[in-house]
Amino acid sequence: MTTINISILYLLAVTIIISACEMVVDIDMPDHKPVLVINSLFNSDSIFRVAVSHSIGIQEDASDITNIENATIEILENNISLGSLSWLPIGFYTNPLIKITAGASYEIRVSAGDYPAVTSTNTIPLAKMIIIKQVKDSVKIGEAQMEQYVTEVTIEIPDQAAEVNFYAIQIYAEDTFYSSWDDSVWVNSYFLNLSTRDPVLGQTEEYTQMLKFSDELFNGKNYSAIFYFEETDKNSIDSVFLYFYSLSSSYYYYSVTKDLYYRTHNNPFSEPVQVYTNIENGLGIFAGRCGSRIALQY
Amino acid sequence: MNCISQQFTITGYISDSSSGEKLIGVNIFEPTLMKGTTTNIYGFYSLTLPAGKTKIIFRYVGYNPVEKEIDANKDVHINIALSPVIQLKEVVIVGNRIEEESRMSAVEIPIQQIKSIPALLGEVDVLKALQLLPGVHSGGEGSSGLYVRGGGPDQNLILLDGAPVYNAQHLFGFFSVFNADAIRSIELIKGGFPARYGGRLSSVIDIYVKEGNMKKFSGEGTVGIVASKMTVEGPIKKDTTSFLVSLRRTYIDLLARPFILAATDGMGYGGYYFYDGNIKLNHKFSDKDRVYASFYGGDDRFYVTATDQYMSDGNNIDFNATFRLGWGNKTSTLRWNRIISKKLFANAALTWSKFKFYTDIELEEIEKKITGDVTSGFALKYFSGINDWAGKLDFDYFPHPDHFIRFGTNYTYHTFNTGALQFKFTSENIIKDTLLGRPPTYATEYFGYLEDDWRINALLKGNFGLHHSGFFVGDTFYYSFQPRVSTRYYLSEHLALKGSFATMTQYIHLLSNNTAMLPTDLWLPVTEKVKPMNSQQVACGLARTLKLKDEDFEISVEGYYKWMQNLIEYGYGADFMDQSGVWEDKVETGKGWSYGSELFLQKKTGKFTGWIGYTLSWTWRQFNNLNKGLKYPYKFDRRHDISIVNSLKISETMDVAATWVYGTGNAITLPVAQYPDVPEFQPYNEYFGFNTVEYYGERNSFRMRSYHRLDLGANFKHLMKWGELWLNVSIYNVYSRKNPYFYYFGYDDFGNRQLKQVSLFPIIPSISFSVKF
Repeated sequence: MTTINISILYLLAVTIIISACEMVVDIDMPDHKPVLVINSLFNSDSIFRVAVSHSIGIQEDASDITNIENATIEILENNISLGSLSWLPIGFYTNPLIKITAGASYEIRVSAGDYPAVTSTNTIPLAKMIIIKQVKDSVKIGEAQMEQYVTEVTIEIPDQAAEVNFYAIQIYAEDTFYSSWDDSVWVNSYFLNLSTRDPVLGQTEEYTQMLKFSDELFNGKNYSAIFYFEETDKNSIDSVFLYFYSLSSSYYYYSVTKDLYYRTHNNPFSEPVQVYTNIENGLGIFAGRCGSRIALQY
Repeated sequence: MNCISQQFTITGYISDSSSGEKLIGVNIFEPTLMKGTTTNIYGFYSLTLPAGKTKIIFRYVGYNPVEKEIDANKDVHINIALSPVIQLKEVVIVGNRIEEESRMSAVEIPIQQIKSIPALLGEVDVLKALQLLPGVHSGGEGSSGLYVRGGGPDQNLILLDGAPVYNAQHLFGFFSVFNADAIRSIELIKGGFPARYGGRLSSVIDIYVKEGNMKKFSGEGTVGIVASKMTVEGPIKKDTTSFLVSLRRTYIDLLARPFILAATDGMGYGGYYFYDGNIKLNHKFSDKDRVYASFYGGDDRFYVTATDQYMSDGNNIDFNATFRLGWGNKTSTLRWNRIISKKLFANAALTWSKFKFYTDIELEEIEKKITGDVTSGFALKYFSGINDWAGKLDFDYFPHPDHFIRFGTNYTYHTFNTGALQFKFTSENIIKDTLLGRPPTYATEYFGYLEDDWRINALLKGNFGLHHSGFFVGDTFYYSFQPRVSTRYYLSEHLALKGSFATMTQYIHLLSNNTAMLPTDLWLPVTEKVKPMNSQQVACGLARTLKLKDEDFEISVEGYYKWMQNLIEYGYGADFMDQSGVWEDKVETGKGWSYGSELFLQKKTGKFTGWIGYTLSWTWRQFNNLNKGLKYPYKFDRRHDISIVNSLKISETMDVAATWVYGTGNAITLPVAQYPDVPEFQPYNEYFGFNTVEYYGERNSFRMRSYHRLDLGANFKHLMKWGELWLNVSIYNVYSRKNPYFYYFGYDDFGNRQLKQVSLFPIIPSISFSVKF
């Protein structure tokens, strides 16, 4: 028998005896009583868009989840009722007359059918002013074959003491194009990839390319932060904007845990992540932010 | 005439008559006065008795006892060689009775007994043998990790000839780094820690390598399914200098290489192997001075190599690519034993210990130009690890038969490499070599100790000690005083009541994902923010030796309660693959506690040996930022743990063994519900429905299926003129129990969601051949 044949037999034998096997496990999962799920992330100077649905047991079919279209939703601002939201068949409730104001505290009360009624409150922080100190094009970061050219932005954040603040940064590019098909002008807006070496700014969120961070490490001080965004062809875009947000704590914790959830989901060697929820008697998120838009000149 | 003039001191070493190996814990006593002592870990003893004619008995488990009549008026030095018992004879030996010792929560397993236990793929493993003891859990299927009395795998101080081993695992834990053929003794201490040990919270595993046969050349070798090993020992100069060399290597990669080369037309190959080796030298300068040098080295290596040749711009190009991933330990010990006086024994040691993890990739292109070869390439290397240099000084002082005093000090210089990246780039005119990452962290750790094994009266004996330690890192300094007490009180001739209290402090943390222990795990020092871990443990129990049909059975029952503070765990979602950011920000600090009782029935001698162990325990954790601050079961909280280990010597040429283990399933966290996420990126649509997230119940509130397994083994010996030929047949997991490795939610063929279990090892038969000469 040749060496290769012996090797094949040996490998087959070893592979067979140590190969992993899988089985379905019967486990007593506690009965899940469905609860209302409220999902609403909102910005100041806009209107509420609230999705209402329900939870299901872990072993049920996700396609059994439906939008709840007959919910009663009341919005209160600083404990004063502003009115109710109405269902729109595109998947959420809204009321164009209720404008969201920075600094205000909002409460949502939702009831529907036999589900326990749910509530949530959230205070939108006031806008924070930042200073763009420098925008530098064609900065090389990385080493050797991992090097890349980016645009470097330095900002200064004047942080207020005696309160915990949460911030977020995104960079958007906008370009305008003409459509000859319907003779119209379109504005295409998309976010650019962000990165940073500053541990205070943390990791970029994968899907939204958002840097979100707290002022825990620079509370009450002026903090100078440096980050980078992907280099763009200036001839193909009209402008680049920096969005600087003040996040409510619920918005921040939801964003952080949701990002971690997607990063680690289905990894059997990672501790599971509970996505943050602030809905009393239910699940989901009701959280706001206040943003400012600054055009970057470079 | 004073007392001293009426006494004499007998000192010496006790060794195995066939190999010259020093024997640890040999009981030496004078039966009339009932005064006695035991040999220390270097086989030395000292006993002071009244002058005159007296009888001294030397006894040790598995050896024929020796009686010496001494008529002495002055100090004498007597070395004793004990001969091993031939098992099939009627054995009437008296071992060191468990109820005699003041220490508790400590277990020694004879190495021969470990070698008779059926093993996974036939590879005998000392750490897996320890997992079969009460109070010790394995992490999971196939793992050689140890979770002792509710502690984590980083809380075990594993010493090999006195040097710490930081990662005692090969092949992600399926095998340990210790080759049983090279091991002389192994002791596990779970509680009641003597003051001479410190630095970890939960256990001490003290392993000594054989010293090398002083009498004759001998050796043994084994060819198994996954590995082969060879151990040779013998005298360089009889009764003066000896050596031991032991090597082991897996060879699945070598056997697979021709197959892979054939499949890739010779363009590439890859594989995995591990190897380890022990070398030890032992030299006796005189009856007073001995020197030992011990070295261990081992590595795990994955590798892939690929080559290619192609044309570009009319030039031939040779392309080479290599990927390597590896980790390994190296330890070495240089030890000097000196009998300073008849009552004072000294041990000085220098130790070095290193653990290193690395991965690298190298790409190289050689362009064959008319003007000459032009090489360009790229290399990326990541490495992490820990490096220790330590100096140690221990003294054993025997002032009186009722006192055995130990004192000493230890100083360790740690270098923590917490992850660095090296880039190397080569092109026609440019060579760049850059090192990035966190710089090494340096720290110093010291401890001093004093302990007295004190026979207070005929009934009461205790070990009283104090351990003091300190740790400097950067501008931060921590220290602690750790009292240790361990007592024994005779309730009757063969029944003793024991109790102990010990506090421990640990200054280094293992940054590890909670569900897996991998070589990527980082050892890190305490910082200003992350404090040292502390524990306090109380234990009490009963111990006695039962005599049934002239056979001795040791039985002990212990209850314990352990508190642990400043434990760290990764926060929600932290992942071992993510090496970015500040590690302190990724961990949560909390506390833990565990309590339970352990039953241990052991038979060490005779044709039939083995033990039954049962543990009933609870282990909890509480972290302010995990599980809403509520307490939750530790992942390795197991209510019941049973192990039955038996070995039967049927004839001079055959023995059989069986092991059965049972453990309550590990605690796990599972989602209990699902609900729609904010429809930000994937709004509800009729094709895909909602994008859902899972809602988890309380942390570790579910249990995996229970773990149980039966292993069988048989050894057949054939006597040859030159030695012995052994055939070992083992069956791991005889009834092919599908034990859980991890759970996940998957789908069946109809799209229904199901909880699925992944198992690793079904029934695994194995065979190995050994020679001994």
